[in-house]
Amino acid sequence: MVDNRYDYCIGTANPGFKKAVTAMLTERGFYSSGEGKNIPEFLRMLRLIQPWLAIIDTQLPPGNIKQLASIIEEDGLSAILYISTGSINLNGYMLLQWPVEELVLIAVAEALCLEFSHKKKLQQKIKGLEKKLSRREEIEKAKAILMNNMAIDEDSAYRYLQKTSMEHRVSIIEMAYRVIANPDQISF
Amino acid sequence: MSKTKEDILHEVKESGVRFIHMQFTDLAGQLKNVAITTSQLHKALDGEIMFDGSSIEGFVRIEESDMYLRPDPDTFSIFPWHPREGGIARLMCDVYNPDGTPFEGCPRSQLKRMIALAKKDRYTMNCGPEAEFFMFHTDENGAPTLHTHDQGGYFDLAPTDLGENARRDMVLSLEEMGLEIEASHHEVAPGQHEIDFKYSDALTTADSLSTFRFVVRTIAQRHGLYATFMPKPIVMINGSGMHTHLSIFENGNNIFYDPNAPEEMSQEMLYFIGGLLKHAKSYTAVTNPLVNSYKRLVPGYEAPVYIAWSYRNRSPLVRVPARRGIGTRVELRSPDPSCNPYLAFAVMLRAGLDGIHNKIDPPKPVNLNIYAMTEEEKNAYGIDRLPENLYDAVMELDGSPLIREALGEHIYNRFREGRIKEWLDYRIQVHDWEVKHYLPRF
Repeated sequence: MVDNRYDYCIGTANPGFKKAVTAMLTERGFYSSGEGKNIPEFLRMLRLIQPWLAIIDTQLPPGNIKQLASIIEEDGLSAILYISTGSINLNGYMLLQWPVEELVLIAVAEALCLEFSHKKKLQQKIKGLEKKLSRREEIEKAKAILMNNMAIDEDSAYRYLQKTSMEHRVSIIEMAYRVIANPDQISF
Repeated sequence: MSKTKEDILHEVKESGVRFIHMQFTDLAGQLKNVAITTSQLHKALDGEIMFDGSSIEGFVRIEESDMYLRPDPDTFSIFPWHPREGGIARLMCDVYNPDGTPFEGCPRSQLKRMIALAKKDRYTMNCGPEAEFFMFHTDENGAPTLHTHDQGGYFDLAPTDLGENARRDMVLSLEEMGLEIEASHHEVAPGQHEIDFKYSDALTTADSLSTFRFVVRTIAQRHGLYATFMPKPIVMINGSGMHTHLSIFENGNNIFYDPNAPEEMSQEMLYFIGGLLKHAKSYTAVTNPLVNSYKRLVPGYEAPVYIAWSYRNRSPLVRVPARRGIGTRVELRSPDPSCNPYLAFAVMLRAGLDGIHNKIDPPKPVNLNIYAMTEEEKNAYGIDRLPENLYDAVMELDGSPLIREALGEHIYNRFREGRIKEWLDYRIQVHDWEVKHYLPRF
């Protein structure tokens, strides 16, 4: 058995399908952390367990597999691998046709988990940058208020923010929020 | 500051919105929408989007079915659960007749009429609702059950509460849509939650409530849960209410606050309470519109039954929270979240205004637990009770020209017709309780 750090949840109401997929994945070191026999149950499971990979039988009841796909995708819940046991067209999602060869299943599952890992790191990076950008915007807003209220230049406004934040023992962004919340206040 | 047509066109372009839901409510408060693409937005913002009014419950007959939607630009917001590319936004709309006059059956326009009436006295009513709801599991066919996540069995040992997670997502989504949320917490019953709004003017709050119910249902579904605003889904367990905090402002000042008056409550506030109590029986059909609403208004579950007011205890219909200054307010405890918020706020405002206009003194406050009082004690205080079922509530509404006026004749007639139909449908059913109690005995 190969050691693997990835876990998965399986969504299917078909015990035979579950058994076969689980056997193939377990053999290659993936470990199962939950299952759902219908879409709501599977969604609850995904939110609770937050696995690396969601393996979904396209005949998972009560239907609307496309909506399930968009929820998992939009909320970034996990990597998704659909295995079609019927006939369904899922544009833009990884879809394998059942029965599937073990080597193909494992290769695709590993690739999806790796891709999800990269995606997560990128999302974290974007979040950090967005936060930085929004902090900068708030500080700019606060500076503009101070420049207007105190008739001072940009550098002096920034120094004022720095100084008052130190005096109040708060971060400069917290001080900026206070200025924005009380734009008519002369000093802080 | 009000948004202009250009602001919206710019925002749509910047955010990559592709579809707009032009939303309005039917008489039952159900959110309806006409979906348009951004290419139709120009036309939509000019109020030129037409729809078939006869397809909406309680609107018009088939021969007068052409209706127009006139969006309120200030209500533009983007649904946060769709990707930016191809995203969806919403605009709340008033419904207009083909001749350009407001449709008399539009609940939003009717609330605006009541707001305009208050404006004659320079009054603005602010509302802060506390909306409760349950989250249940669905069965394998996707149908809602009464099984709550709190009793989830399989999930009992899990460190994360699914309902708490869903509620957190709801609050974040609502905030992203521009709603101000004051608090959110788990409620008394298993699976029951509450999300409280920061107070705002009646129209904004009614728009927010319509959006809120839609967002709560959508997010719950995305978490594999089913959210319901049914007032009393489970017998013997607290129902879901929508306690509503009300205050009247004039030129930015809360006229309910008078630092020199007893309890710092102004005379206007007392009259407003007088109006709310006097007309309570008549507006209950509007604030509690379902057969099921009256299963909540029973003793023992923190829901009001008696028409009285108090500073402290929570058993009467109206409570005055301790907060004073700009936060001085009354809390009406009977409404439930199944009501049409536009109509509910319209009747609350009309009842309170009548109290102020006609100087209706409220009875003495009852700072005792009314549920523990004897009939004689209740009589001595002059305490009446709310209607016990939907039929009685509609009969009370029939007898009140003031509340009928607050609804407008068109809405009153259609609303009444719908409520009586629902009551008659319910009345002919044989319920589980009857089968359980009578079948073995008779």
